[in-house]
Amino acid sequence: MIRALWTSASGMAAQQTNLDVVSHNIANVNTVGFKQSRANFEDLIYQNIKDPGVVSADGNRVPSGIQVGLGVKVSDVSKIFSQGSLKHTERDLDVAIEGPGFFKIELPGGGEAYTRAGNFQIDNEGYLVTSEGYKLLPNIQINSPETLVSISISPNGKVNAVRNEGGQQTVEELGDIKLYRFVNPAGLKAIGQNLFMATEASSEAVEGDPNTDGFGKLSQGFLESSNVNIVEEMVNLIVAQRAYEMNSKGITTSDEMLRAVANLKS
Amino acid sequence: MALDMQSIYILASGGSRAMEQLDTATNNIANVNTDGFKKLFIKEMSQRLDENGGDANHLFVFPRFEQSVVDLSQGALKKSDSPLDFAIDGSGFFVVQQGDQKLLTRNGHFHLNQDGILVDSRGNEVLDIEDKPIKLNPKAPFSFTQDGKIYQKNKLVAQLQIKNYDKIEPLGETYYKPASKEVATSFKLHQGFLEGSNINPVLQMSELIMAQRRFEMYSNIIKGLDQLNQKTNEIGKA
Repeated sequence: MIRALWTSASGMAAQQTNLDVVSHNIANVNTVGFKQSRANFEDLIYQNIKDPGVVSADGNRVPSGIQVGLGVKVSDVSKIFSQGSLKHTERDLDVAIEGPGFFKIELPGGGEAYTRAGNFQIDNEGYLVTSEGYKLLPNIQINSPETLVSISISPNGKVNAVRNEGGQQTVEELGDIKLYRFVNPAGLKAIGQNLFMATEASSEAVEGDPNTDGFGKLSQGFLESSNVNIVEEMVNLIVAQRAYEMNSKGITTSDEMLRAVANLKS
Repeated sequence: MALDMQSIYILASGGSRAMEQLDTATNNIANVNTDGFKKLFIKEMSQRLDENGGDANHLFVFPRFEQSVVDLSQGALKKSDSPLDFAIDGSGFFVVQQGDQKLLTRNGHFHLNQDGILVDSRGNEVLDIEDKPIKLNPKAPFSFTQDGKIYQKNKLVAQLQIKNYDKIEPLGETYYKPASKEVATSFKLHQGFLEGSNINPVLQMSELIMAQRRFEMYSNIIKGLDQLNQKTNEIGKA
């Protein structure tokens, strides 16, 4: 049968994955700390068809080397960790990272994950948690909420509670927020809920203080919006759809040629 | 047999060429979104049957493939926002090491691996001008110049190796191997960009149409010749 049938099918499958990735980006255009993904493609192996030592019409013997490609596949879907824009929220517990670092989160069943989403909350024990209720690591606990006036988080990660105790204003140090970096952030595994897990490809996390060594500084009262560029994604959507259509034409052409073959014998 | 069957074989050979033309066009279309992909096209030629040379009635010319050629024209650059994506504007290829083999690629979608070495998306090391892997300090920011020099903290770390050949053969996975002698390069390197496929979808769609119509013509003539043979065989029947 014609190779082109499978070649076009591989093209349609690849564009389908492309569409999946683009729609996931578009769906998360408003997700805090979301990082866009991109599907990358590569061509499949080439089949060597050789007609060696053929004599051409003008009498020359040609060194023939004929290669026919067999289609395409998705090589990887890579995350792009460019900075999302910061939006002002005026909420004390919203923290955005300006720079490449991640927050570390304790998963409920044990284990650690990393996130760029800094929309923290306080749980019933006073711990700083993500909106899913997972604790920030290292833990920061805020006690006696009745005297609490405000919480301040400095660009280098110091968390202070401003309290009003019997008419007197005091400042209590609650701890430090640390940031984590990876040699290869594209190697992180996304596990949903804005969380990433370290893998062998990303290497171990390197711990550091915000605002030092390029870890990125913290901005209290801001959130990092998704880095999805919606115009770009719409263009990608168009490209994926048209490429899908063109590949399907390859299949119909092969089909009609095969019909012509079948019709040779009446 | 009353008629010579040779012409049917010639037409069948043309039909095979049309199918391979279709294979090539669909492969190009399938890779319309593959970064660093270069269009492949097939040159055809006619093969003369030498032993029949001179005899006009038997001078048959078969359509054959001559060779497949990689079209090295520039693909469009598209912005990718990733600091480790590179596009070559001009001629030349990145060189990566796979086992003991050196491969060429125009797909500049690179990463740092867990040891801080610059690798491509299949984990093969990207080579510098001294044929060595490139190790970067992941903590410090880096910058690239348009000739491929990498600076970190204002110090030259390495220079990307860019080699150029006028003829290459595709290996798949957007890798190529040289099929000619090395020639001079002339390029600008763009950081944060990727080079798209150099496929022109309009041309490829017309290739599809041409392959199909050509095939239909051959098959119609084959049918016609077949009918002619049938009629000839019926001569003398009561």
